[in-house]
Amino acid sequence: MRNLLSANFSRLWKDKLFWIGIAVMAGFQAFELIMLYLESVQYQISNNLESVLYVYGVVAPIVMSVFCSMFLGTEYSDGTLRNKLVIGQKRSAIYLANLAVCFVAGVLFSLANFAASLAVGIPMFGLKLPAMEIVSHVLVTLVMMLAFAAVFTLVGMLCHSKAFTVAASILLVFAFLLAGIAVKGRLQAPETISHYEMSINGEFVESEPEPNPKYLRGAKRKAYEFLDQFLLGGQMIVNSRMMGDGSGNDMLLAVYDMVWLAGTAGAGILLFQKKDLK
Amino acid sequence: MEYCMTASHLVKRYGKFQALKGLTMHVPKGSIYGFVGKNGAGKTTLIRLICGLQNPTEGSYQLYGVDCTAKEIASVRRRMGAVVETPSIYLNMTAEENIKEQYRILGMPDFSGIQELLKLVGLDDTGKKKVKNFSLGMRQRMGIAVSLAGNPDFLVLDEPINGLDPQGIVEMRELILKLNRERQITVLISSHILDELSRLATHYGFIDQGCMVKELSAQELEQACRKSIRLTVSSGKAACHVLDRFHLEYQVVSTQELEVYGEISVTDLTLALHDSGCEILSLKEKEESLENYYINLVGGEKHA
Repeated sequence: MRNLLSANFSRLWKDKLFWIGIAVMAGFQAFELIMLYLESVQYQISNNLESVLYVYGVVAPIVMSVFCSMFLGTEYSDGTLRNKLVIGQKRSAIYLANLAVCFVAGVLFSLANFAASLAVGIPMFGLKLPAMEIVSHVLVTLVMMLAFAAVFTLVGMLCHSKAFTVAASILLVFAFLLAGIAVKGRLQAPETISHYEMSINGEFVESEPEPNPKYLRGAKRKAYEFLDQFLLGGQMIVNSRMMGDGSGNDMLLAVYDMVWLAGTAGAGILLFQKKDLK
Repeated sequence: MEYCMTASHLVKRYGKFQALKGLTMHVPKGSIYGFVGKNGAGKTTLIRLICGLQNPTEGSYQLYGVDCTAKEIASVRRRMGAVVETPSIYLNMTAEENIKEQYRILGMPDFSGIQELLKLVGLDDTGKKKVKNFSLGMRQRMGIAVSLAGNPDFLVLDEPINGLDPQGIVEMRELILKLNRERQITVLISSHILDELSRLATHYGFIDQGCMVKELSAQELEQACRKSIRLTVSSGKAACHVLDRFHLEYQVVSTQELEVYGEISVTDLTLALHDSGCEILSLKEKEESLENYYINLVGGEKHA
């Protein structure tokens, strides 16, 4: 396992796509912050760094999906996976070493984005959040990267075709995100709704609030709340503070991430053990 | 005889298709084993099994006496190197980087042997050229260099000369012979290019439709393929006396048929047989090539 990790990381440091990913993550955030600053200057509105500080929670999994699928797909397309098996490396060790390198890449993508936030954002906006809160939230987001790494490793290790792996990983991360947005949208539906009516004298008057039929109640709401925090798309939204949501239970999210890790890595190793390789 | 690899009753099924049907095989230590069979005969399937890429459905194989299901098989595999189908190399790395990567996977303490290895396969002057820019022959040699990184005793090469130009074929042949003679590496080569195999192999295994049809040494094959005369006579017994008198090597095929080996003066033999009252009914000269031998072995009429 140690040898495999050493080989994988040496490959990672030489991988152009990895450094492009780091540059994209940092560059994207710097650009976003500069645009935010220009907007606040031009329209005299008050923007803050906190609103975009954790955006890597959404961007990093997308960049990871491309990088991990390309990195793992190369093992199949170049046939180098065979070199490891022929000399007696265990399949479980190969799988875990690949999972480790995907996770580290995800962490570094996130940190590159976060570092750009601090380096570019603090001089322009300052930072009002307590340091401990930031650190603990960053750690929880990084645990989510572990879950994503596990999912991308599962796809990358079980598909022979590099093109299929890349397409499947990218589609998967967007499917997660869209599912997360859909679930969050349902949860954010207001409990009551009012509508405007025109009075006899021609004025618009707000009606008495009525119960919203789309508002989720009881067991259904509980199920949606569970999905919101369990599904990785929901976690992307919660951890990035998108859709004005900062209500995630960090510990619970971390536990769900561990469930994803155990489930996908366990199933992945089991299936990879039995897989006929060419 | 000591064997590097043996297989007994190996079966491999892919769904309903049976690629190997109880294949049994013996690769002697120090040999160059030519694994001969047409496309789809099961050569690559067997290689995938012994390389650990796939598991047998039934049966087993042993590497250096260790069964494929034993725990120790992982450590025995360290003595193996293989190039299965296409060379397994990172295309966006240089030759040196590729070997370094394999050294890391093997946990080699340092990179001191890399230049020697590249020199051995004739790729020591490739510098910073990426493998993706190598010719097919160079890639094949690169694949062999990677497989040699762990100093294996047993090298498995699947169709190593496929697609190579004549120069590439000669280079590959010389490399394989060098590895076998100088490093005492046992080599298992699968191929359907029989002429090329006949210049290398010390042992042969002929596979057809997932079954081992015959295993024999190069000497045995030479014996089977050497020049002979098939003699059909009225009295086999009389003919034997004559052949003994001439000190000729022969084989009795039936009561009237004899296979006579070596250089013979047909006139002298005909006169002697006539004097013994033995009539020659037919006389056919025979010299089998490896190709003919193989076709006869696997049922030539099917391929006619």
